[in-house]
Amino acid sequence: MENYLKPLIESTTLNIFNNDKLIFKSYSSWLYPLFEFESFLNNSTKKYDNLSAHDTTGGKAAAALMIKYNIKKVNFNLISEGAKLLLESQNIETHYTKIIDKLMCKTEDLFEKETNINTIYEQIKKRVNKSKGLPIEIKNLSIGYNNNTIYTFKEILIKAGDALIIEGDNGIGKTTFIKTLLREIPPLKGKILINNKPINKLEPKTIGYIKQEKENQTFPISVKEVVSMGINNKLTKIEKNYLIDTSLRKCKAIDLINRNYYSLSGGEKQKVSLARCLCQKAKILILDEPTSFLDITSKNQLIKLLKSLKKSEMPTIIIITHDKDLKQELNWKTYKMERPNA
Amino acid sequence: MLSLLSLAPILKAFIALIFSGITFPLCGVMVLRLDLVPLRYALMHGVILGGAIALAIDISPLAIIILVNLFIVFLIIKIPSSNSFSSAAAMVFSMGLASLLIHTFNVPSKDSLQLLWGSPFALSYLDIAILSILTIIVINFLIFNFKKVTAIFFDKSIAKSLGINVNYYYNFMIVIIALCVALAMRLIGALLIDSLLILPVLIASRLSKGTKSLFLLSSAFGLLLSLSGFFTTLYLDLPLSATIALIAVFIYSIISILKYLKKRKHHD
Repeated sequence: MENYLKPLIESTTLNIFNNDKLIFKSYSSWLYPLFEFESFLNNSTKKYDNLSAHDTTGGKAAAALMIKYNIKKVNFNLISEGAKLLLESQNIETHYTKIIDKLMCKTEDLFEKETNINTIYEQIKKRVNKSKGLPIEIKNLSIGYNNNTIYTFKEILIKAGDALIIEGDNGIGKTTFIKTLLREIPPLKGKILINNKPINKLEPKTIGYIKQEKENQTFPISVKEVVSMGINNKLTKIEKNYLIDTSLRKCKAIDLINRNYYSLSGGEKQKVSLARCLCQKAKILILDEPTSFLDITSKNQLIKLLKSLKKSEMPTIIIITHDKDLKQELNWKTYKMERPNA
Repeated sequence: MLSLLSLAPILKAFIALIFSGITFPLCGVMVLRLDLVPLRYALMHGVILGGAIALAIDISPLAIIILVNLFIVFLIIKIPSSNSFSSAAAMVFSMGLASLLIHTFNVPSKDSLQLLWGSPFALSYLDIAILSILTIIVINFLIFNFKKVTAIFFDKSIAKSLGINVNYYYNFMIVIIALCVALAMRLIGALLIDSLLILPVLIASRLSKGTKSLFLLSSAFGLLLSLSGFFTTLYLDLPLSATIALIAVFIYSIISILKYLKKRKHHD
């Protein structure tokens, strides 16, 4: 049996083979594994002329991309009728475990009547490039309460879509910094510019905030209610459901949708919180000690997810953490808050 | 028994219990999710003080009770820190002053006891009208602001980061709770307010998986309790508030036992 027909292992979402040898794999979701493969092809000097692929889910968009990348044989766990017809029209050998009429997603709706591969490709690329972070500029910023300065930042520049880890000892002002960014308290001096505008002019829901959670509560709240908290109320019900569904899928938390949030493990809660921020289309993510109270497996899953989201969603990310393993694994730029005479 | 509904006091109590059964548990969800249990105690004691003032000067109690409760809410909002200490001080003050007034103005004990146990069959049409308006306000508020309320219940910092004016909605909910407690005193008395305010929510919380279902089930159980209490009262000639309270505890116990047995079976 050729390798592309064998089951995908662990949390792999895409395997690509050339002459039955594995050349690429991805753990991302939606169409991002295929975009990652496109980058892989663009950066590779080798020629691949006998490509085969095993993907988890295939709609028309995925089918079009596979045709574009000259993949000759495909195997899907789940495929839509439209995708199968498109692939077969291009003489691509198509295998699947399960077939449905149509995938329940907007991307599938968008291309329902489209058959031109290049048109589908251009439109997908446009949709992908919509998600971007915002640049953050901090200059001579003093933070504190009641005119008492706790900490002063000289300068921090975070480009759009970039990430920064902030570390510092207990009591140095990390929480105060978060409160200042969230506009709970005003800066004492200096300025914070987001997308070159003062922070007090920021549009609501630009910042997605994820804090550490210490305790469960007695009264329930469903995962769907948590994820949809920041959703745009002007969307139709179908659009809202699509957005909730996609956000949870991107964070590999779709199975949790009907669960009580407080019955989830620490790692599951963090996935749902990330999905909440995606659903509100946050351009900036602030994570406060995201790995506190997580076991090793959950921590590793979170790290993978953060890396994947940074690539695919490209928000600007700020993480406040003590966790040295997290710093090491993410390998992002770090700013250390230090006492003046340290 | 149903022929008793042709009597105005019985009919008024019936209508009031329908509104209160639906509305009081919705306020109870706010009390519990916003962790306002100390405030609730303060308001219950405020209700006794308001009732004592009204009895002392011989006027209809509802307006005074509402004013006293709104004043307590105003004080607690203005002194946000040490919320539980403020509430404790308010409680002690309220009870002390109420006791003094009842003694000084020779309020008959029957009338004083009505403050504690309620007087559902002595409601006026004004009481019913105010209760129905509160019901409409609470239901509309929750329907149109459900996501914001859910976010505030979930986490106030996160709600603020979503651009929600948390203080505005929080203060609005406190005022609604104050009005609800004031009205509950008239119906079921200061001591047993929890039978329609809190217990339906506790019952519902055993069965729901989200905030929406918590609100809906709390309201449904509230209505069930108020109507079952009403008809049991009529049939067996028992005091209404006590009957509702005992039925509520009975249902809560049954559901808790069933949940426990289900959990044990799952572990086995």
